[in-house]
This record gives sequence, structure tokens and C-alpha cells, in this order.
Amino acid sequence: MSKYKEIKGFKVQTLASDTAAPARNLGQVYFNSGSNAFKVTQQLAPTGTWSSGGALNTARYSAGGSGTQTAGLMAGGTPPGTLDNSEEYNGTSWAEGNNLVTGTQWFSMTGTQTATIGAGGFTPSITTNAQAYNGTSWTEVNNLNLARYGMGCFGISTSAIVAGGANPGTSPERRAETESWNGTCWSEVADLNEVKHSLGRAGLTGTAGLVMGGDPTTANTEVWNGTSWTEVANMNLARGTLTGNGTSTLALATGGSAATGIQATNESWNGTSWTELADLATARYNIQGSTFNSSNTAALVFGGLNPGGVQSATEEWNVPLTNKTITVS
Amino acid sequence: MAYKYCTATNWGKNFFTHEERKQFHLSGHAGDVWVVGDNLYGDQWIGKVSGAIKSKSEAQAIVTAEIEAAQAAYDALSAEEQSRQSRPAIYNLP
Repeated sequence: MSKYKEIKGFKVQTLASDTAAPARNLGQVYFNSGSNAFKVTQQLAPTGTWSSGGALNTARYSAGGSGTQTAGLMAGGTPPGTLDNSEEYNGTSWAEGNNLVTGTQWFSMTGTQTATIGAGGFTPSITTNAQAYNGTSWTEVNNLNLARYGMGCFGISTSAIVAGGANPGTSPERRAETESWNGTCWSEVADLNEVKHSLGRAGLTGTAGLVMGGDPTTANTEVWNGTSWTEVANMNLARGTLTGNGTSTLALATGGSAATGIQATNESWNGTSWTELADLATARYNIQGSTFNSSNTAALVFGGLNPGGVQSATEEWNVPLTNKTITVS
Repeated sequence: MAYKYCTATNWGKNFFTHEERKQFHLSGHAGDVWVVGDNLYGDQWIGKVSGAIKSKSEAQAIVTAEIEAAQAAYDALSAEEQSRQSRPAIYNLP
């Protein structure tokens, strides 16, 4: 039986004035009774920019990154050696958190600042090890089936995906395998269409995600629907060791290393195609990001490596949102 | 596009803002060298961060020296460690 809402549609909200918090209303139509106009809150994607954020306490690259722009998390990485310390970002500055159980570089992490899962990497030898963070401390959890580093990783601590990666001890070295985490254990699911490592990623759950780029240098993008991978439109610039952010339909691909050198390039994904937007201030690769942002309008990147050495700089991405009048003729 | 060159240490939050990034070109390089769009807003930013103005050749020399040091550090790594990153390459500032 049909519900009233399905027959009559949704009620349009009436507001006395434009919303003061447009980020919460993105895509919402409303009636402004002050100006007698229907309006919609839109994202002005081409006008997004990067600003500086608080610097990491320990400059590093090939760390794990998770969380959001205002509640970020970073753990592991190098140098020197294999780091075990983690740092938490509050939107302004980084503070030391509790250490990993096992120091890891090339750690693939995803989730929120209070519910993160990380796996693989070097400890310093290549590992299947996986660790989870609950906002306070790290605990060892069940291992991956296949040891590797540089996987694309998205989701949260109860539902996540790792895909691709490389293991110098196996033949072939570069991998296409995908593993799904259900909060307890990893299981093998459908492979990527292309073998690659050091790829960017986006996605808030293990049932919908995106991987982009990777090494050997590729512009390829693949979408995960919970069952299989589908190749979609390529990035404009092929590159690996980049970072990603957002969801399978609204994402960013930032930084990395391309045939033309180390990149500040930033591209935005709208679910169909990639568009180049404003660059980072500091080009870098082996860069990390807090990727658990629900859109491509807010992001956080940090650390990495460029010809000047190991980076501690953080940059914050924001896209202005605006309330537009709907005009009918 | 015309640029100015300066050195300044990135102190973190608000070292450069979204608004400033819209107003002028800004890119960070090795040795705390910044390439800044040559306009009024760029000049104001250099003042805000107490940037030390450099000529292009001075700025390039700082960047090159930093990259040469990074190359030496890379060359001292083990083959396994080298395989996970690229040897830093000297490049020219815009």
C-alpha cells in the first residue's frame, strides 16, 4: 500500500530567511517566506580552495589517515624507521594520541576518529597485521589474508574494504585482490579490474566506494558496489601515491606522483567525471588524508614527501555553499 | 604571470587562508620558499607572514640546495627503502 508521502511527495520547508548553516542543507529546496522565493542550497565546486591547517607534530609520509576535516586521525608512517605514534586533529591542531600496538608504515587506514580500522604495510617487514582504534587505544584484530602495502582502503571499523596493493615477496608483486572487513574478520571478495598499488580511495562503508589512480602510474577509476568493481571515467592526470576523500559519488583525488613529477593537482569526482580544481599549496606524494568526509566539499590532507623532504604541513579543503533562487519562466 | 619570492615558516592554521588562496597564486617549496603572485594581496600576505623577500635566483639556490641534501639522504638509503620513493629531482621555480 502506498504511503501518503509517496503519493503527495515531501513537504518543502518554509524558512523566514536563508539558512545560516548551508552545509547542512546541501541540495535541499526550501521556500524563503521573507523574499517569497523558492531556493536551493548549491555547492560551487570550482571555487573550492586549500588553506593551511595545524602542522603535524611529527613530519612523516606513508602513514595511515582517517577521520574528517575537524576530527582527523593519523598513525604510523616513516621516518625515522617505522613510526608507532598516532596524532588526532581537532580542526585546528594535532595532538598526540596513543601509539599503535605495532608500528607500521604504508598503513592503510579508514573510518572515523573513534572507529578506525587499519591493515597491512611494513612493520618493517611486509605484514598481514590489522589494528583497530576506538578513539582511545589501538588493539590487534584479525589479520588480512594477503600481506601487502599501499592498498586502497575505505569504510569504517565495522564495514571496510582494502583493494590492490603490492607485496615484494610475491609474484606478481602488484595485486588486484580485494578483502572485505565485517568488524571481525577479513574475507576475499571480487578483484579489482587492474593490478595496482598506492591508490587513492573514497567511501564511508564497505558497500560503496571508489579507488582512483595508483602505480604503475594510472588514471583509472573503479567503483565498488558491495559486490564487484566497475571501471568508470579516468582522472585527467594519471598518478599514484595520492590521497582520496569523500564517497563513491562525490570525491576528491589530491597530490601524488605522475610522469611529470610530484603533484599539487586536485581533482573532483561528481559520480560521472573528474574536474580539475584548485591545487594544493605544497605539492607532495605519499600524502595522507582524513577521507571520511561525506562529500567533496570538505577535506583534510597532511604529511607526505616532496623534493624538499618529509612534510608536516596540513591543508584543509572547503567549497563555499550558497543559497540560489529557483527561477521559473 | 609575475611572481615574487620569499622565505617564511609555515606556522599552521591561518598561515594561508581560503580567501587568500582565491586572491593570488601561492605555492610552497623546499627550504620554506614561497612563490607568491605579484599583486597587492600577495604583498599583504608576505607582510602577514613576515616573509623575507628573495630574488628568483636566490630562491632557486635555496630550493636547489635543499633538494641536493635530500638527494644525498636518498642515496644513503637501502635499496629496499629507495624502491618505495623517488629520488628527489631538482626543478626550476616558476
